[in-house]
Amino acid sequence: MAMSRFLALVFAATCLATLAGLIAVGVRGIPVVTDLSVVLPQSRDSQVEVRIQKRLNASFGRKTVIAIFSDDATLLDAAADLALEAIGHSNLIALDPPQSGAMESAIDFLVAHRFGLLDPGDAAAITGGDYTALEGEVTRYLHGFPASVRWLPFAEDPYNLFGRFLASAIPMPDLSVYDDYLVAHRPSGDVVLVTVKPVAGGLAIDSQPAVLAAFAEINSSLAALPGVRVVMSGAFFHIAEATQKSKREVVVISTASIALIALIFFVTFRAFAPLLFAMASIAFGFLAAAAVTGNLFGEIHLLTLVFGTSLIGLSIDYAFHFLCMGEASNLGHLRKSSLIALVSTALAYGLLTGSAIAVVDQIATFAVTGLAACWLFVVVVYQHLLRRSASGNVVTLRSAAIERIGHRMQHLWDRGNRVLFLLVLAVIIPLAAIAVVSTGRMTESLASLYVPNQALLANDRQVAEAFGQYSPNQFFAIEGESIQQVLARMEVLSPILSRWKQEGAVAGYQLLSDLVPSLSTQSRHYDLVKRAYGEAGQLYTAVDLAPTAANALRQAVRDGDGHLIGDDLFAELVSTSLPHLFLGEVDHAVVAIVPLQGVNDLAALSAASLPEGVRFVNLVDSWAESLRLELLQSAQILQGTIILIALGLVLWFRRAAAMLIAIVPASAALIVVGGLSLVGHEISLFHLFGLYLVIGLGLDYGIFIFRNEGDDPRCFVAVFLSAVTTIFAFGLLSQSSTPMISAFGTTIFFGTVLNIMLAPGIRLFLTHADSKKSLS
Amino acid sequence: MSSATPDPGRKARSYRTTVILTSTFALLVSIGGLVRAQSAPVDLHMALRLNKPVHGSFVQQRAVAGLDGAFTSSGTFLVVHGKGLLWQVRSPAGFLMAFTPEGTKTWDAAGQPTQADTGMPRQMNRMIQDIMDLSILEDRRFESVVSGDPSAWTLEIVPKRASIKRHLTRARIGGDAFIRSIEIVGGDGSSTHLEFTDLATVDALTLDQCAALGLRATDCPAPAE
Repeated sequence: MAMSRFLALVFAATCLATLAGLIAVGVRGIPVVTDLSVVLPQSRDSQVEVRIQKRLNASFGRKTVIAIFSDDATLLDAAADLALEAIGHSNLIALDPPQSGAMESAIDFLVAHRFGLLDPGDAAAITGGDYTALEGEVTRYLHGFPASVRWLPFAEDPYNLFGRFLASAIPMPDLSVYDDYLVAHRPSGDVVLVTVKPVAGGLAIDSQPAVLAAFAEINSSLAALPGVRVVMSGAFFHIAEATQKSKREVVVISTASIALIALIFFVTFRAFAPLLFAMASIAFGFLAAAAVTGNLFGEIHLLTLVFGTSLIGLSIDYAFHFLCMGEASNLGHLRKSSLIALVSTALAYGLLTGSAIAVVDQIATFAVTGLAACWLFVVVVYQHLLRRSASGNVVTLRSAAIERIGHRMQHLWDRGNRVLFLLVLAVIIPLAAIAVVSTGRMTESLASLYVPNQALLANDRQVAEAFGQYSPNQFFAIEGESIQQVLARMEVLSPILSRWKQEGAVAGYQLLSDLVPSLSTQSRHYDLVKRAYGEAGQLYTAVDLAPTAANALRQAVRDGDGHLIGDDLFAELVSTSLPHLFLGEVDHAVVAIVPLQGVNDLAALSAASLPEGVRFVNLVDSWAESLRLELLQSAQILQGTIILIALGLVLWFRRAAAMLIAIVPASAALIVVGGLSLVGHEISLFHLFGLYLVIGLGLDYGIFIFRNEGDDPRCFVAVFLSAVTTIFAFGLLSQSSTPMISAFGTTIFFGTVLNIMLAPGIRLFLTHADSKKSLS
Repeated sequence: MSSATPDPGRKARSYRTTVILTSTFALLVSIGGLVRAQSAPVDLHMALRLNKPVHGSFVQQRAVAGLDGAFTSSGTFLVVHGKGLLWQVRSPAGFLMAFTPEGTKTWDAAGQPTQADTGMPRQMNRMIQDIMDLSILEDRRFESVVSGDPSAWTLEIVPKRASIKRHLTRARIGGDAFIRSIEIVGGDGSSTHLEFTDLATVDALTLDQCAALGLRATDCPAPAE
């Protein structure tokens, strides 16, 4: 009684907390995140790499672009006008005009500090006292065709030192900048690049179909122009495709699962009240999980909703056991059995919160919270329903067929004995182990998580090539204790990069130290500039500057001593104009980025001996390696979990046979892995996460059977009913087009089938079962 | 400034429209040779579609802020529609400059290359080609105003974008049947005035001229048979 009251109080408090939590997220709004990078491990290095990738994508790669290809310049102009008009008429997408301001403001900044900046060739010439080329530059400017463009007036930089520095420091893509778009000039023809963005709210899941339709309309109107080809590229299309696909699958799975569960309930109980009770428990669990997860994480990932909802659906087990066996005299027993089941499952899920993958942490939190809330609902509400029932039972089993199935399950292993059961385990476990060892392959490929649409990827590549974009997945990360150390390390890397470019290993790169050399290099350059433009500079013997101009130049050089770019000015420059080249301070280390274009020889870059503090990052390989380590670690945790639970159960029940409660699902898990390996499946991280649930489910079945002493066939009816719903729901998930969801579903599908085949064997080891069997 | 032999150097790369426009205007001189005397400026645009190379002489006067006086140079030029411009300076220094869609090159008086490709952005060279047939008139980055009549017309070009105005304030081209003069005012305060004389179309190029423009023998204009 006291326990009932206590649980009722906890339930009331949970209701209030859930309501408060939901109001809080409702007021704030809870974003549903679809970014798949959260699936990747969250090691420190990995986090730096992900941040760099996001920085590069923000600067170069994530924009939504309409690219228009044509050989005819007139058609291209007409197509550009058509696209701009269509965008102007849309209330879902808006033009994102090209911005050249950042680079211009960076150049203006550098102008003010130019006396420490020199092109390497000019530095070498001045060092060697050879002014021939510099003076030739002056001759061409004064007498040649007026095509020599300079950033500064002649009198301020007669040798055009700053102009040549800029030319060598800033790689210029072959782009023409117009008011509303860019034109990329390629040997095969020009490309108009119109950058657009969804208007506010356009990225929301519900708005995606309308935005996609708007793009489709623009595409069809442009494609009607002869000789014009349109390509649309950007993260939006990937996100929309993944979201719509997931949405469809969630709807299908939810609808089918609910339909089957409703059918099973009606067939079994011939009443709707049990279904409402079970659905209400799952709904309560879902709401509590959403409230807690939303407040803890500030957002919910789409994968959490997909996986987490499925996991909470397992809690229908509790409802089934109460409904099948829930007379008043049995309540205490059921409460305890279901609590043990909840604790063991929560332990299995809970260990996932230690995963290096952020979204798995969220899924585990969502699932544990949901299960616990669901259990609370079942225990408290059922008791209340029972009190109001005149018959002493909330419902009665009405299906003779279902009862017969329960009976058959109960006696599934009656023809054998303990030895036979153990022998079967002793044979199939090693066989499965051999299959795993001999044919098992783990995959750390990112394709095991998600396979992006290849057509969209091809579009992205075409646009990236036209833009001359840097790759977000291959780059150098330079780390050091200070900005100056990082710049110095870049200067050591510079000739290596230059050689790779000459050899064709990379098509291009952008090195921050080319633009802002270290202070020591700037000081050296300043001394050289003084030789050219200083008090007794070489310039004044070669060029007859007007006295005022000459004096002004000499003064500017004198002032230049105080205008070298130190750390403060460096930070000001990179934060405003060059965020794609500098990440900043991460864990007390300064990190800079060297983006790469056209990486043609990954092997050479990966194998190269690099200066200290320089790291070549190939994100695909890096993440694959992290996934491999996560896979190994998770497998080890799983093994430890099984042993821990087995020992815990033996201690709790004070019977050695209780170990079987853990051995049965562990065997099922091993057989699943062995079977998948035999048929050629590569085992991925999400197969492994599925195994956690197979073990959790098997523990549930085993605990209820063990606690029931194998006596009551209704216990086996409940096990059967919950297994059938699990098998169906995860069987549907196994058909998902997303590899990680499919892996998850397949594992649990087969694991549950094995669980309900093996779990009844526990009965052989129970005292009452022995005596009943001998009597029968 | 002495008339010393031009020396190798480097050219800055950047999208500097001044280069293009000034080149363009110079090329217009040659293009102007294709103008039919009775045509209005708009007809110039049509007439410029003729593909004959044009040769002529130039005198250039350049005033640069910070230097006293103006700098005068003279020489000859050759423009080939769609292919590029050769600019031969003979006085006070001798050097050759070639502007093609692939880039810019220079040679000293002895014919030795004095620098590699300046790396001037290709769109700048391309603009030169566009201007050769006056399609620069349709470039949305510029305001173009044509005035006068076919016997004495003026074309004024002003960039719309601030990033281009930074380097080029305005340009003016004048001519009749040929382009006779070009004036360029740069964003750095410099001004250049070009006068063209001895203008004539040519039927063929020499091998050296084709080589300087980077043309293969098969692409080299030859006399009609």
